[in-house]
Amino acid sequence: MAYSDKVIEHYERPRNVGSFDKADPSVGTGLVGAPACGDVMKLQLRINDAGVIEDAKFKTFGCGSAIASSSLVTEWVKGKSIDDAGKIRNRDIAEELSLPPVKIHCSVLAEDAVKAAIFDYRLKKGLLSDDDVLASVGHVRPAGAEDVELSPEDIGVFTEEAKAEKLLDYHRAHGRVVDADLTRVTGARAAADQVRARYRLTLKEVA
Amino acid sequence: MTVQTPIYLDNHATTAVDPRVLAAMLPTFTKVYGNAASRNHSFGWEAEKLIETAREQIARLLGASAKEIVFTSGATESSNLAIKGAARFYQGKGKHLVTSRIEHKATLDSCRALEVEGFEVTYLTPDKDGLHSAEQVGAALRKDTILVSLMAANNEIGTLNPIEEIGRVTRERGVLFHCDAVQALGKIPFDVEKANVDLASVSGHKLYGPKGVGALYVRRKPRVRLTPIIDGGGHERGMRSGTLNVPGIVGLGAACEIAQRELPEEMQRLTALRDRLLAKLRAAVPEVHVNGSMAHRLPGNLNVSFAYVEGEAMLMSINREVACSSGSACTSASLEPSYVLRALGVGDDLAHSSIRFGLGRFNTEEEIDHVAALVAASVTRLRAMSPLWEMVQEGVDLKSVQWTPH
Ligand SMILES: Cc1ncc(COP(=O)(O)O)c(C=O)c1O
Repeated sequence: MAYSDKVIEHYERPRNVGSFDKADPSVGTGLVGAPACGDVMKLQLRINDAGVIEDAKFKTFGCGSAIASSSLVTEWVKGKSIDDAGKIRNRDIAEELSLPPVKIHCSVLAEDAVKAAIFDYRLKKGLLSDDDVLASVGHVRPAGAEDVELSPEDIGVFTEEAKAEKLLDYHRAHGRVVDADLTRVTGARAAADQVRARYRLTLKEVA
Repeated sequence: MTVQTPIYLDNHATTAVDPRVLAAMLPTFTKVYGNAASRNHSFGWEAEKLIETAREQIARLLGASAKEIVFTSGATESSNLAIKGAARFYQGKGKHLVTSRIEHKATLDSCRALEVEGFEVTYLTPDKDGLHSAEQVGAALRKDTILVSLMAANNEIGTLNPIEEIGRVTRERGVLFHCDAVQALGKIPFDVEKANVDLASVSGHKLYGPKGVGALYVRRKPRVRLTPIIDGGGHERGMRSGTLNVPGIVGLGAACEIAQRELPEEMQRLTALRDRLLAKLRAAVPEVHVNGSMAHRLPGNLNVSFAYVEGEAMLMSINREVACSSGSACTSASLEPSYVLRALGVGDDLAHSSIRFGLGRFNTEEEIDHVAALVAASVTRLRAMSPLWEMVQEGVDLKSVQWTPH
């Protein structure tokens, strides 16, 4: 397959390859994709207190179009506010790089990486609403259940447990009142433990 | 030392026509251009003479007799004719076939077509080295099995099936044995008698002959019969109608003769070059995983995964200077990597990182050294920008990470 000149240019001289310290409170890290799918992007943003992206770095496992897409967004996000950066659409990336239809997923991944990095930053800074935190937890399959058939209801129970825990951690990390969260976690764990007992899955230690 | 680029290392996909083959073909375009089926004039007789010479050249390389060769448009047609033709002719005896998950699409899709017609097919899974054993084949045979189709050498990973042992089992059990010999013929010894092969597919363009020509070996003792898939003037004893492709057939014949003469030396030379390539890559970069058995492998094949870098990205960085192919299928809509590597149980991540080097007659040591250096540099550069490589260096177990498949 022939690559566009812009893809080749970014691939041969990728911008902003590298890493920031993940633990730095001013850095948001997004890690998206999966090795089994053939592409993984790690995008990091350094954001100042005014909410402006001062610097960006990436590392990508993937084809030339995936590398070019991530390289391009690191250029685009610099100097933008996180709100504006969050508005970058995969369509714009695909158009800029003239990606063919089979490579559109590379631009989607780049958009997702920006969003994931911004989310991580806002999580660290305590800038997310409770709904944002809860919405970030996808369906959960508990450890030890890889080979177990779970009903949608059971998965729902484990997902609620993970959501409750995530919210508790989030509020704790930012020194907020957590009484309501503790109640929620206790209830969710009890429900999850029942399912675990039914399937004899490893019991989680209650903190 | 300077080498000419691009360097061609995709000899499993196709090969260059050997200049000696081309020289043998040229007169057939402008001088001996008769229709080999024309019985009434010298143009036809001359063409027929060339065809019969080619038939003998091919038969000799296969250990067969000239009467057992049927010319086709290529191995895809040969395998279609062998599998569909035998199944349809012998369906009164049974409707079960045995093949492998890592066969060429020509075989797999012929089997799929037969399934639609009501045949049953068992698709054997190879072991992790890409090999099938005679025991495994024997265990898959049933009372109603009429045909086993297994390749001699795999086109992606170069692995060699123990066809002589498999042929013993099929012969003993009275089941026909079709062998896709496309990648093996002319590269390693392949003898239809020793292996008890009943049907064998051959392609011109994989052994330095022209494209668009192939042959099917059809055993005469005991006689194997086929229902034709192309009907017409009754050429090739009724098994394959159509005016014979004289230039192509002459080329295929010449290619077989050259391959037979040079095979022992060429095997050694290519094995040494291939091993040199692997040794140089391993010396230069860590985590080079060979896909498929190293012990039972075509001399010119090296299929390796460079962990934590994606195959297509690798090719992109070297393809100005080297032509080879990747088992990653990032260009296909499915995003699924090679079905051959998957059948071996190679993880999708490593399958996405695989590169197939296909060495051939015209490759030199200088070329191999150049390629090794280029590939090693590319792997190093891409690992430096790979988040997976970084995580592994930090001690992260990639299996423990919650990925977000898309
Ligand atoms: C193992 C194998 N079988 C069959 C074929 C089909 O051969 P042809 O291109 O002559 O149709 C090929 C080549 O693509 C091959 O590698």
